[in-house]
Amino acid sequence: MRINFTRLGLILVILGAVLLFNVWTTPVMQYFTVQGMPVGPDETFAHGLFMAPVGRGNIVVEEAVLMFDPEVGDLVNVKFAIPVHLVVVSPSDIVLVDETIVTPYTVQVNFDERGEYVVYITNMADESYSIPLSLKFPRNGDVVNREADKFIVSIILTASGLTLFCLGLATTLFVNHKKTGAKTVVMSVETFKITTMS
Amino acid sequence: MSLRVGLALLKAELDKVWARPILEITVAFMATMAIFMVQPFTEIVDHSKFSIVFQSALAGSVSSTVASLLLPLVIMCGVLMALSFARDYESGLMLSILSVPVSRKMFFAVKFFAVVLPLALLSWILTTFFVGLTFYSSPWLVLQLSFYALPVTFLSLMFCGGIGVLVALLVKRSIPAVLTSLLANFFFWFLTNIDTLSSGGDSYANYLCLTPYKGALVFLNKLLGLAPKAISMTDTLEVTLSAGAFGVLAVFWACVLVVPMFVYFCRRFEICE
Repeated sequence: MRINFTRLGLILVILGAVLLFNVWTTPVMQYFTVQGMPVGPDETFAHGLFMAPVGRGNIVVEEAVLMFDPEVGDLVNVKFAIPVHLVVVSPSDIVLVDETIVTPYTVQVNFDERGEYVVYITNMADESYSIPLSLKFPRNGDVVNREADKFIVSIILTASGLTLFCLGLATTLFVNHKKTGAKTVVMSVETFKITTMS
Repeated sequence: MSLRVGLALLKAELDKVWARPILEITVAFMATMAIFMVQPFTEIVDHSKFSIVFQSALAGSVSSTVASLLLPLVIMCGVLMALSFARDYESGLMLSILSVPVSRKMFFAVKFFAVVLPLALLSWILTTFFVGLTFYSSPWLVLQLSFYALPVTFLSLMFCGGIGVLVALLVKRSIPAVLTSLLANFFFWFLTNIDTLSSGGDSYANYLCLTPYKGALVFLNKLLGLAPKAISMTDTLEVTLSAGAFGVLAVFWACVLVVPMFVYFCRRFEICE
């Protein structure tokens, strides 16, 4: 199996183009949510967000939920606005958000690297609540959250593939031209010899 | 001397089988099929369980990528294997090569592995590449889990190649051999799409997990530690049989056609019509 520059370049272009098409046509899902476990007073619950570098998104700390047993004897979810302390840490251990808020609260975070973003939520109220966490991306038609790292890889693959392909073609043309030139010289010398001898 | 001849023969065979544009078409076909499994991965989980969820997602990604690569692998392996044997027989090249001091065993092994080995390697490389694109934060885990794809793919390709050789040696004509091999492999691949879990332990569909490609995929899932999705059907074979049993099954399917074809080709096959 001979792999020359032209073939390698073509294979890289194929891979890059397929990846580029995929990245271009599959934006990230627009809404994720998780209910979370009950968090006691002054306790902290940590959520792990595995994120791709997809640009700006909103982390929403929803209204706290308390399981309440009213007089009817049935359990219902009652939503409360409670104070919580919110900390968001990026995969490279940079603190992106560190503030005390009242639920519900939306904070915009720029997801610019791939990995686990840790969201620490500390309950600062007097009772135990479960505090849901959501992740929302803009629904505007002009904003599309795509994975930046895959986009860059696809561009690099396509560009390097095209370069190798052109380099291979140029080398082949040059070598062929050289061979043809050498053949012409040999033929001319032989013709000259034959002519002189005759 | 024999090894040197074998290597020279393998090199010539690789050049012939994977000549332009076969390799490019195969890569494009495999990349197109595998790319559908490369979706943006976003999860919100309990931070304390993050590593378990992450590993499970990575294993799921390896499994789904290998499953999606199976169709192009099966098609290309069937076509190339049938074409490789039938075309050489038809053109008389097989007779010419075997008239020089090259044993039939070596000839068969070279022709067989010139198709199977590059496909298995290509499948592993593409699986690692596409899974690694999403989970590159843990490169060693990606390498470790995607390595399981290599033996599973190799064993599947052995069966697939066995069908190709069987058809080629029976039909002995390029185009009919290619088409028959394609159809036979496509039939076995089609069985992998049938859900054998939801049917229950007493259904006929339960036994489809023992078919060559479906069995290999179940073997891979068990190696990766992936639990079946429908956990309610605990009496199905896919759930009750162990990874070792599916491993033995995969080796059995890999050898069931290749070994008899090898023996037949070396002892009985008439090269001159």
